[in-house]
Amino acid sequence: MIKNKSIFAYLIISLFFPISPDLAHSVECIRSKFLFDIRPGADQPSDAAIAPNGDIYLVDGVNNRIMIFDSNGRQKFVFGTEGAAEGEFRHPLGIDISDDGNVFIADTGNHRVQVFDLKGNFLHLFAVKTEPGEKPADPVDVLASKLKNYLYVSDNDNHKIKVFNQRGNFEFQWGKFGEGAGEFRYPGILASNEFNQVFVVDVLNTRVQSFDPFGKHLDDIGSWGVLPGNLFRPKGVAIDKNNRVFVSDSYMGLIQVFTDLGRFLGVVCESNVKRKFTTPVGMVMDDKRNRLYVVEMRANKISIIEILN
Amino acid sequence: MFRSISFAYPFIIMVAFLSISSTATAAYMPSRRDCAICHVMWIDDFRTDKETLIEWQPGNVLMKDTQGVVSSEDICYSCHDGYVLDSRSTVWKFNQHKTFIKPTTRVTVPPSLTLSNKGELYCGTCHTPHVTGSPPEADLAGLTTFLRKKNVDSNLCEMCHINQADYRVTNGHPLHIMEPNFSDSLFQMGSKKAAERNKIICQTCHIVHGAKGEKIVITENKNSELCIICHDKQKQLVNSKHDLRLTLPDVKNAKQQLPSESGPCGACHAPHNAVNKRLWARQLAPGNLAAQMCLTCHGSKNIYDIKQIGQHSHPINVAPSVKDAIPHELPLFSESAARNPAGRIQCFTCHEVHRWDPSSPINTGGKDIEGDAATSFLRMSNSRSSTLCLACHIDKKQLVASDHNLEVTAPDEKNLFGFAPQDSGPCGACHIPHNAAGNKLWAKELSADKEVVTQLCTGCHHKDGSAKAKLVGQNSHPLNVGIEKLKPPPTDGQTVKSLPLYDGGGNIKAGQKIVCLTCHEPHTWDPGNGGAGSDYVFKNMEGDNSNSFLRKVNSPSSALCGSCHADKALVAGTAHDLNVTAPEAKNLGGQTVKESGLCGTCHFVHNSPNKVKLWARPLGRVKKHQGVMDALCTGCHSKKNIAQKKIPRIAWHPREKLIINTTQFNKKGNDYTPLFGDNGQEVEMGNISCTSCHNAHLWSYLVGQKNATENPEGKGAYKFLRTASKNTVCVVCHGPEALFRYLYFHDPEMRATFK
Repeated sequence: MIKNKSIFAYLIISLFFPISPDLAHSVECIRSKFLFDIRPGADQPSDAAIAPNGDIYLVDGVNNRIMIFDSNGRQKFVFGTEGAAEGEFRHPLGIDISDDGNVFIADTGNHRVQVFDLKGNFLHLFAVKTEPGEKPADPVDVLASKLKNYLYVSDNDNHKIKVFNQRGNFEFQWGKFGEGAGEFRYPGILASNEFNQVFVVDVLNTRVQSFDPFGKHLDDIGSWGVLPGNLFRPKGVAIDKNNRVFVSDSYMGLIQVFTDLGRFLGVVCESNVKRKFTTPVGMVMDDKRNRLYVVEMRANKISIIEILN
Repeated sequence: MFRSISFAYPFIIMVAFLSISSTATAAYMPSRRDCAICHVMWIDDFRTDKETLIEWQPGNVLMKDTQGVVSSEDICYSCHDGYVLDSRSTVWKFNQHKTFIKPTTRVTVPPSLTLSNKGELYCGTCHTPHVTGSPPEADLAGLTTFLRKKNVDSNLCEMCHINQADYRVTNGHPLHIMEPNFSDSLFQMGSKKAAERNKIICQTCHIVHGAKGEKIVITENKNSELCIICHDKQKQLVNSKHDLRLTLPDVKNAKQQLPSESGPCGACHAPHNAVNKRLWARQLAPGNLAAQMCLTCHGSKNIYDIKQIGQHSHPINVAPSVKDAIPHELPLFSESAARNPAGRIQCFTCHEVHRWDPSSPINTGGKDIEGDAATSFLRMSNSRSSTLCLACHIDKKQLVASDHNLEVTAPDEKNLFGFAPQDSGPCGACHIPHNAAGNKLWAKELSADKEVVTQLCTGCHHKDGSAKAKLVGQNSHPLNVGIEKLKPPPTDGQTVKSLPLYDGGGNIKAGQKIVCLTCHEPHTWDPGNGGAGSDYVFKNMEGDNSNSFLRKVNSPSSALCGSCHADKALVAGTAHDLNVTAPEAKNLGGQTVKESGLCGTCHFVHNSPNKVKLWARPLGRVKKHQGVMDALCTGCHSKKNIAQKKIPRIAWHPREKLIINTTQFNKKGNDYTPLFGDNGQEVEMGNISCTSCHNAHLWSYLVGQKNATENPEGKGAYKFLRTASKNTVCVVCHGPEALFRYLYFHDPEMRATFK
């Protein structure tokens, strides 16, 4: 609906002004300041989370481990190794940390979620169950919600969001393969705002969908294309304290910012120039420090930037 | 071009267009977007004048069979990063097939596999999401690799890698043959199964994406980890002397790789484009491959500070003399180093170059460990019982159970390398296969001032040697003499009736000399039991003429002596054959004729108490006018002796009347009358003795051949006479009186008549 309104407004304006390159759309900038990089020696890291104490937890999934850094980027410890036993991983992709300090890992290749304490001690795990006719579960991200201790899991290959409690008991699920509202084509990284709304990156539908905590579709954020406000390969989503939705696009190498209702605000820039990232994927907002941590998968690093406006 | 388009269209047209397209877009958009998921440059946004978030890259969007943005790695990765499909580990973590380079001259890319517009390999060379080739259906997990052609049994690989596929010509690893040792671990590491599980294909070793090793092999191969998955038996090479990382770390292979780069297997073998058969990857000296694979390093001309085989080494590239008897554990090889039951003995026949210790797979020796007969990359241990040597040299097996097994008779006798017999094995006490002191692979010091062939025996059989109890004595059969005097002369070339003649170096050669080895075969105690082998009971026994390492049994028939002394062998069956006339009579050694053999009744070969004719019987008493040769006869032809019935009543010739027997007679003629000196030697001037007229070995000059079944009684002109008296030397001096004088001096009755 919003899209149709914009087109209509554009057409009205066109009646009065000849369309010319001079009036072409210019990209709005969300100003940022580069702080520092963390180059941890990871191999194609995918996602990060912030602990209550500000430590950064990075998923180094190809190396089947989680790397922990303090807020200054100094490595503290790692945990995990390849395997299928407790505390072992097989190409994990997603991570989230609950307010009470439980670390949830989407252990993708093992089709399960594992839970650790902040020191990396294994707590428990549970399988992401599938229904008859579904492919093996492909959990690529987890989202620990404050509401009812829900744990949202994006099952990428089955195009669903599966909801458990944080002990691993299944609660409910939504979604199916498709392009309509509430349907997905490869749901990926998850995020939530202060209202416990759930934001799901819908990768091949080139959008982020927002839902209420129980799976009711709210809005689409972003759309198909390569114009400002369009998405080509959205991968990461993070929401700041102002409910601005930051969406990374791994192919275009950009982060775009929207309102939680989907209105395009701008592209993250530095010195008024679009800031290019190398395959930006998972992101996490540190509101206390006003930082955005951007995991750059093929650059094998985390870029830490400060959002200025 | 698109950006230059001005949108100065009448409003009405715009409205009309949008009103139509607003309904059409809903259906059109998804399919268009699906194409543009990869074909990003097809997105219509680039055809507006709006600033796009990424640059439009013109010129390569719709060109058929060219690589554009659509086939860039970034596009592939944008889905294969885990958020649609996780190929991070498979494709991007490890090594993968080279892309965005031009094919080398070793590769032939067929037209059906496209190159980029720069002529480079790219993802689309092998893949297309439009699935023109394989697989038409996804696998059980729903995955498809979108290959342009089916890659059953790696035939897609072989379309470009023609040289590697033609491995027979290019000296590459065999393909499309069955390998029985494929383990599941190989497939767990990423190896692809052929249509038949155990068939070797390119993807057995190589994986196009996610290869952990260089050259896109499925796993790290710096330590030949991949090779030894199948070549499990060869892994014992690691940390042995043949692990060139230890012994030749600075010497590169033919691929210009150091051993540390190639790995232990790669130091000598290359899976593709090797320099020769057997995947050989080192330089080769001229010659047959099987030999030069070893000799290039271990031959006399190598430049490396490693073991050499020396000047005297076991022959190679020779056919075994007993092919059928060679056990399968000791394989024969063709010149191309391929196993071949009809092949020849090569280094590999005895050596398994990948295994230091045949008895212990965990004993790899080491750089500084000296080898011995139990190790040294031998196919089987050769210490103690010399199993390896005797596996081929089965005719030498009897040595183990004889006095020539020094482990029993001379346990402290060390060979050239300081190994005692128990370490060297019984063969190794006298022979070493490499770096021997001389001919016969001799394992003991050889002196330059004596002939080698003599030292082979006298090395031990001398007064201070380990065989000092077994010497030949002062009066022994002559050695190092030719065969010119033998009657009749031998006609079978190198041997005298299978008794070999030798040159000084120990080589069997025609027309050469009689040496110890002519009569003795030092490996066979009992020639009559030559096949005894290991079941032969070692007795440390005293020998006789039937054994004693003789080449032929020499009692009771004296076949050995008769081989050379054919003219003397005619004695058999005559009155001088004691088997006939005095079977119980004993010689000076206390042997009867059965024990000593026919010849041994009168002659000792070694340790004879008499120099004259090596006489083995008591000498008879002789009168003043008689010589030493007469004493040989009178030992028997005298009272109370075995031939007392055959004593001439008168038999003498004046000793002061010296005779010259060569002036009118051909020494080789039938009527020649030999004269003998004081030591029994033939002389040209001297006195007549019994043996001047009698040939003790020949009953009749008329017969000229023995009659072993008869015991001829002397008659008339026979009586072991050399010839008819009318033609003898007697006539020369005595003319017509010769017969009268003969009768006078030999026939008492006739003498009486004359009186």
